Amino acid sequence: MHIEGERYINLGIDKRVMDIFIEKENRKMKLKVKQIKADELLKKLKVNPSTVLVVKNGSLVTESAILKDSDKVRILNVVSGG
Amino acid sequence: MMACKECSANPVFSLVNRSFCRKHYIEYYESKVLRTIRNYHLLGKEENIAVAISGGKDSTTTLYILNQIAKQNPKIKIFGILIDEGIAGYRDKTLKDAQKFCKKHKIKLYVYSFKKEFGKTLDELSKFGYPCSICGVFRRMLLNQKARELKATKLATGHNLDDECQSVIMNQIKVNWQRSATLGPITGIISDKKFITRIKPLYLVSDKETAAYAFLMKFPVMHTECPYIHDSFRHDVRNALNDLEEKHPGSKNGIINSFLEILPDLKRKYSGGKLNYCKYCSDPCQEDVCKSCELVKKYKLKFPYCK
Ligand code: SF4
Ligand SMILES: [Zn+2]
Ligand SMILES: [Zn+2]
Repeated sequence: MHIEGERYINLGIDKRVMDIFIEKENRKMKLKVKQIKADELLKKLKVNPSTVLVVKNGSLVTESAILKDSDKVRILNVVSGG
Repeated sequence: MMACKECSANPVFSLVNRSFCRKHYIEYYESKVLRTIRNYHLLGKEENIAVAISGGKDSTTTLYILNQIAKQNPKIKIFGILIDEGIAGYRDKTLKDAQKFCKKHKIKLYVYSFKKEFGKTLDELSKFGYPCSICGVFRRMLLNQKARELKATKLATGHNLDDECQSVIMNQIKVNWQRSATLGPITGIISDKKFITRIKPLYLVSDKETAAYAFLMKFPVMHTECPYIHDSFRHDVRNALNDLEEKHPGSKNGIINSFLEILPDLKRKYSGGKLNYCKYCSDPCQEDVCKSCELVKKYKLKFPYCK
């Protein structure tokens, strides 16, 4: 699946939208989905879970957390190189 | 959703078979680091520790935890050293974070820059050659020299499980056992008073574990990467290891545990080599001139330590 910034991605579940910020690529995106488990989201984004933290509405959550369309989701890069 | 094993509160972090709430995760993380310090004898009774900091999550966490220890122990002192390589858009930002952090925690911070010490920033030097090699050689040299000048007993760095795993695999691929012999939670195969012993309190915690800790502790760190890192061999090894870990959880721990088993033999095998002292800076090295002075000469830079 190819994802582009600010483009709406339809996962075929619902018309409502989840705001996602992917820090590593410094990219905001919106996802048309009612709810999704964090690990499923990472899989869709092709992001390896051991390289990121998932933050939901400002709080750190585990990969089994359920993310809802009303949530603000940030995906933070855990690798600090250099 | 698996609740915290200790208290059934909302989980913030999970390992293969257990989850933690904020409070219990912080406890888990800190005790893992303290155990590393204890098990590998990283601290003696009396120390003046220089902590090499970059403003990133690993070195900030190392500094924080060592500072907690120092606060409870009047014979242990710590201070920070930051090397400003001159990487626009990266180091300038992490430098500010480091300064803010040290100010808040009342930790003395010394900053040394490539520009001032060698006459050029890494951005300027990057046209001469591979930035990471130049950066590594100069930073290592400055840290050793400055820590010595500041009368440090040890130099603590933020190297973690991921960094060490990458180094071990890279050395394997390049068939460089001699370099692997210099790794480990406490380094220095050659005991020489001019080499400051290096310690790695985060040796057994991963990138992700430390990122979670720094996030929960609200440390002012950005989760950004150096712009030069993308063209490095390390970067590829890191990605390969993360893929492996994803498919086979525990791989990184396995690599490190195997490595720790052979490390004493490696140290024995590669210790005792004859040491020279660099004719320019008098640092201990293998040849007549150390790597750093060699580069300084090659690129016609300043000799910061001519004696
Ligand atoms: S990634 Fe390379 S250039 Fe950047 S700080 Fe690390 S060693 Fe230096
Ligand atoms: Zn708990
Ligand atoms: Zn030298």
